[in-house]
Amino acid sequence: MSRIIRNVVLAAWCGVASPAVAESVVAAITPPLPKMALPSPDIPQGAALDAEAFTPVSMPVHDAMAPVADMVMRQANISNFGSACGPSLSMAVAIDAMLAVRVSAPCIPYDMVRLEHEGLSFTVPMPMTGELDLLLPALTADAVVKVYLSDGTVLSADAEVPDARNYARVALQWDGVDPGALVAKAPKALDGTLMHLGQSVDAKGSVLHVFSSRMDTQTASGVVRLSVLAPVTASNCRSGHEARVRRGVPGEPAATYDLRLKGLGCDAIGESLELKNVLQDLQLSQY
Amino acid sequence: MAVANDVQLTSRDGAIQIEGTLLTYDGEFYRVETIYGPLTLDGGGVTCDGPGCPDLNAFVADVRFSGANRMAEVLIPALIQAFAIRNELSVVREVTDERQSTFVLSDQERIQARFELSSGTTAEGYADLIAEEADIAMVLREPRKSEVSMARTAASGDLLKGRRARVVALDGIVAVTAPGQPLRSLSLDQMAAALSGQATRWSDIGGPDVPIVRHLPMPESGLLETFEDRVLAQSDSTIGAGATHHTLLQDVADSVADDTFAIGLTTLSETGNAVPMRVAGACGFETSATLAALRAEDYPLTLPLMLYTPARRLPLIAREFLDFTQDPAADLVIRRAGFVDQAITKTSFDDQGDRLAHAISQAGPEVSLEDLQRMVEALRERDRLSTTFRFTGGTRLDVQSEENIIRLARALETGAFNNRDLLLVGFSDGEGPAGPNLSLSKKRARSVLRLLKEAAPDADFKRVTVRPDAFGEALPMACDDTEWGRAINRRVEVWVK
Repeated sequence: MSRIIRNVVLAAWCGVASPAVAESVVAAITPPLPKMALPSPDIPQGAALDAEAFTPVSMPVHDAMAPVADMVMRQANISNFGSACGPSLSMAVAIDAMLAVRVSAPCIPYDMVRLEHEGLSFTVPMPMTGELDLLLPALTADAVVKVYLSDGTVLSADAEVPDARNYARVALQWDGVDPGALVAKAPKALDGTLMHLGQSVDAKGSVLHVFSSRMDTQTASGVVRLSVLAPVTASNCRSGHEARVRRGVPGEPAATYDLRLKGLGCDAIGESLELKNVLQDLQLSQY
Repeated sequence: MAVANDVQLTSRDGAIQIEGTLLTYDGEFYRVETIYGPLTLDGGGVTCDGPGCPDLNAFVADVRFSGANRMAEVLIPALIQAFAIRNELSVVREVTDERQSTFVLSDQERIQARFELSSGTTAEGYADLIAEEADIAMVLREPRKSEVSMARTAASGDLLKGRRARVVALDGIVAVTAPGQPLRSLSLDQMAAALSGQATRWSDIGGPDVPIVRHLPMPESGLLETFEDRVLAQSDSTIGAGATHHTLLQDVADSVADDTFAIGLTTLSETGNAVPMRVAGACGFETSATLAALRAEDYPLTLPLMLYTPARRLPLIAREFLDFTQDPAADLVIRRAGFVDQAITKTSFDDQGDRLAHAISQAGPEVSLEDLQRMVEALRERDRLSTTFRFTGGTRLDVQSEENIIRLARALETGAFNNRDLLLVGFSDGEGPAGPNLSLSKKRARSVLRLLKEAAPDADFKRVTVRPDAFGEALPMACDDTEWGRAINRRVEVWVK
């Protein structure tokens, strides 16, 4: 704590004493560029890359930047917006048995964080501000959410969501680039929503799709067809897909299991694999 | 034949030595091809030497299921999941495509078993079983004569020998329409006409004057085969051209649900958002495919879903799985998966009002008032069990009823009916004079009692009363003007006090 204060004092003192250094400080406040790797374009097989080799012109490195780097080092516990780095997780119960999750990690803007709930997880990039707000459907009444930050920090929060007992929720976690989708087809009379959470841009990412339907206020009976749609792309034509399913329906024990979809082969790139009978359909009854 | 002797099995005391080629090792037993022919040896009693010896600590049971997609899609996966949870194993489902899945069951240390599921038709299930490409066949009907003789020539044993079929769950064949279709019940003849294409307009079968659009399962599917055998064969009709055939039953149901002019053939477990039609008889009886009606086989198109196993020995985990499918714990899993389990349930005499009303309206010279009074007196204080026995002809039980004998015998052995009074009540159809019908129904009740006592050697019959009784044609459940109606009426019911 005292070190943080000292740094703030030091920074303020520098600002007053030396305008030249202060300019460098302004440069340091500029938000850094996104760190997440964007997917590189798929290069057709056989297309030779005949880039010419070049030798970079070596530039003498001056020590002009050293004081700035030193300054940034000393500011390590303060974000670009001047708030303390210390990450935090807070969670509140929202309507429809949703969890209002707030992850605060001001010093790792743009970094991917992983949110885990009931054995399922998804990845999301932190916004520039380092404050992430999202709504997550509670999969159980005693909801625990864990957040894994890029710096290794693990945060945890819990909430009581008794209303979650009234919902049938089927969740599908997809890992890797080019994730597939959970598809739900139902007559209009049935209530239900399909939620898409997370972003997955590399092999370490995951998305989470949740179909949710309130059981105790259904005004009609019927069947929701649940199927899985997996695109065949260059990144998964050989390796296939990894996914995880959790089915939670009132009156049934919740079941979680892993799905591994075999690669269809790279001749099938551009096609989509639709699996209609891998997920059990959801029977909704008029209440 | 030159046999490379790759294993040498020695008994613990060293007295006996067997050399040969290892055929299989199932985690318990070695099956070895020797100069004496194939021998099966208990792994606990011998030590194995040679390059062919399996790694005893890394044994992974491979169990291959093949057969009807009705079972492979939802029912068996749900049972495998439940079996794994019960045995504290984790499950990964590897999906190759719409027809092939492998369930990998692991404990904390290693993979214990791989259950491979091939989803196709009943005929494919039997063919794979005969060719030894499957260990367990998922089937919707008993093997046909051609399949039994094929099994004999392929030396994979007699398919019918011993008890190899286990009824896992029940389903019903139903005709479905869109929710908006005003016509709600059909006789089996009308159903046959509408689905085969003989009737082209709804007005031909009592509905409005609009064309009938037909959605059916694939021609070689066990479901359509069963419908042809049981319904179309009665009216000498066949499936005519012009229908849309779907690989997946859910597509049948979904297509029908969206089209008021459509009729489809599917199962009760896969009606989706379409509505099943009731089956009516000319004398005014109507049966719907409900849980209770399917359990008691009161619905004419009950479909038993069976697991058929070969004569050879299966790995321990496969046998445990088969036992689990017959366990009461599996009943709930079966119901949740949308199928009908075979749990023994009770309905009270008061809920049999419709049947009694019918019995009274049918009473006449053959069934007298005294007969009805005697029946009401005997049954009034009792509850009817869902367990009902039906006969393929004479006194031979059908497959679902054979299963019922085992279920009821097990319940008797565990003492579930101790200090209770069980009445096995025989009934007959109404064809022919009442006298012979009454004695035939008595004979059926006695034969069920005999089978029950044979199947329950450990039951204490001092603590439970089980006796036969019969009322002939007094309490019909369906009309006697059709063969299926008479088959429904020939039965033995169980009433408990």
